[in-house]
Amino acid sequence: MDKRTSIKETIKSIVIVVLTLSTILLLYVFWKDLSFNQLSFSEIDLDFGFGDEEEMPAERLVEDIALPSAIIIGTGEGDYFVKTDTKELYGSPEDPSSLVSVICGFGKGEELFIEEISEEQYKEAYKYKSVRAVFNYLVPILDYYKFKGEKAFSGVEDVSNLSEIGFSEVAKDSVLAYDAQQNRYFRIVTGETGSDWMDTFFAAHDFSEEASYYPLEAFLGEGNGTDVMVPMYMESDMTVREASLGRDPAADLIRAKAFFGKTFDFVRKIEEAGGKVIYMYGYGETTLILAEDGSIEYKAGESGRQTLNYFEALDTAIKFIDRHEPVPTGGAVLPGIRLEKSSIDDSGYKTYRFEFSQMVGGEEIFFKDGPSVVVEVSGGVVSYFYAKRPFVAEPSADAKQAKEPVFAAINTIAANYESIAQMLGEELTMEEVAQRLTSVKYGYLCEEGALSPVWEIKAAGLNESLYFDLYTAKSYGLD
Amino acid sequence: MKRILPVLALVLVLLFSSVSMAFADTDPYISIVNPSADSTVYSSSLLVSVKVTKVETITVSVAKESTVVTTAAGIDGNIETKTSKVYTNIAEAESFTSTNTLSYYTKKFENVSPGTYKITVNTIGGDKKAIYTTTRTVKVATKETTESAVFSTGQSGTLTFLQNLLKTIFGD
Repeated sequence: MDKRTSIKETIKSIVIVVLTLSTILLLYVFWKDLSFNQLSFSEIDLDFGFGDEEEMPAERLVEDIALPSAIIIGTGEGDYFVKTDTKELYGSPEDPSSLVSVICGFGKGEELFIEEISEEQYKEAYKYKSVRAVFNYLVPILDYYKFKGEKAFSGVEDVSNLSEIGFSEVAKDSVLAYDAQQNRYFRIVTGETGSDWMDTFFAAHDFSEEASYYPLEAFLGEGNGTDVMVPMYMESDMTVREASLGRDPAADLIRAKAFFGKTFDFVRKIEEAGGKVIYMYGYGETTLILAEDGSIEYKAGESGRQTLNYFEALDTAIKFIDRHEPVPTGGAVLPGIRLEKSSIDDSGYKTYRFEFSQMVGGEEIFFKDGPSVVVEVSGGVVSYFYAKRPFVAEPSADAKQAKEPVFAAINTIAANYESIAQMLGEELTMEEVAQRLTSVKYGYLCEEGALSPVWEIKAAGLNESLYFDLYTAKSYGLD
Repeated sequence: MKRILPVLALVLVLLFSSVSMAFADTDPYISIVNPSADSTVYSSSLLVSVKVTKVETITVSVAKESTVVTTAAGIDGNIETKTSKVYTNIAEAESFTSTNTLSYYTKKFENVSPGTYKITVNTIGGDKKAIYTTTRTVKVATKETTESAVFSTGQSGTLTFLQNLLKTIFGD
């Protein structure tokens, strides 16, 4: 009898412990308002994707990724310098004299005058000695202050989103801002913030080796062209580089486990004839597609139930990218990323969509078929992820050793304006084509296993970008 | 008389053709698009942009205008003062050959002091000589850098301050 009683007591103790632990776990789930996805997937499982924790890339901060698309420095003499590799010039928040510190810190503890100004006044101010940070995405100011734990200055809600922010010598006590969503221009009078910083900035940076940029209108005559910035004369050592987008089937399993975590045992694998591999959990609520072109696409079945602000969602997106980066081999490098575009769907728990551009050697990589890295964060969790990440080889031994002149941007447009007009479906003169241009940039085009130096031209009315060889102006795909 | 007339006509033709060559025509395929005609550039650098709509070679130069006053004794013994314009190139003339039916020659001339400048574009023929000359005059001046040049001050700043103060006290 004693033995039987002892066994019963032992069983009771085990049951009580199990029930207690289950209660604690359930309480945790309800308290955190978690969904099944958050318990199951790689947010809490770091073992897959990298054989060794040492191989995992250092996590990037929002400040490393949410950079201006360009910093335009006005000389006050009609020409400008345009930096597209903005990280160094934007600086670090730890450096009080950096552009990012001044932008993020303006107005603290001061009484501010916020004045709405006209587009003409705004553009005229930047014709003087000036520094302007241009963002291709909208920067919600209030969310940024909350994210940094800082108090926003009174009146900042008038400037709800920043598309551009900067300083001009013609208004040294002010910050100039542009909100593209509302199409409004502002002058925020801050006291002394602008004056010393601008002098320090110009003393610390030498732009004498940089190419001079002018508005397109300056090359074509007054009234022709737009204020799109175009370099006048430029030299470059950019050269064709090998870029591998192919998928290594041996790495598929490791990559898939990184997305599905411990539920991988319940995941089905479908291999299509063309080489595409699909991993599917359940009845397709969660899928991972490894395409034959090297891209990866992940769709989660459920969204979360947290409401994050813009920068919290961006932080979530960046961490997700970091945890699912492929590991390049054979001495190749993985391009860096930078936030390029964003949008917000306010319905439900809010869905943020972030599109990232990729950069190598300080130059942007263009992809013909759209954005190459996309993350959607819905209800606080990543609900969609797409990435096409090339492994870029170092320049070959016969690459350019010195810079040589590129085919001038204005003459690239002149040599191809009839083809551009044809794409627009109209008969247009050079000046009329120039009026439609919205962007002229240079970088690498990722195509057919290589990165080729190109001019990228965008025009109003065209859904796709146009590409022309940087040194010969030969078009890619236009006949 | 009959023999004299053809000779006279020939002489006149030769005379006028040589005179006309001294005044070269402007090239119909050349257009100086920047700076604009009769404009003033407020900068210490000058961007010159020339539109070329033919495959040809041009040379471009920019010269600063100055006034030279000379005095000399006239035939009647009186002192005569003459004022003439003199042009001094600010840089060596540069050559540009267009390879398409539409090209632009662009150059930034730096450290340009205030004054009047003449831009000269010569179209070079097969014999390496100028067959056309296109010119444009532009004034260069110093730009004012004052806040009032762009923004109105005072009244609106005070008004906005009051608006913000009222918002702080009473809310939106």
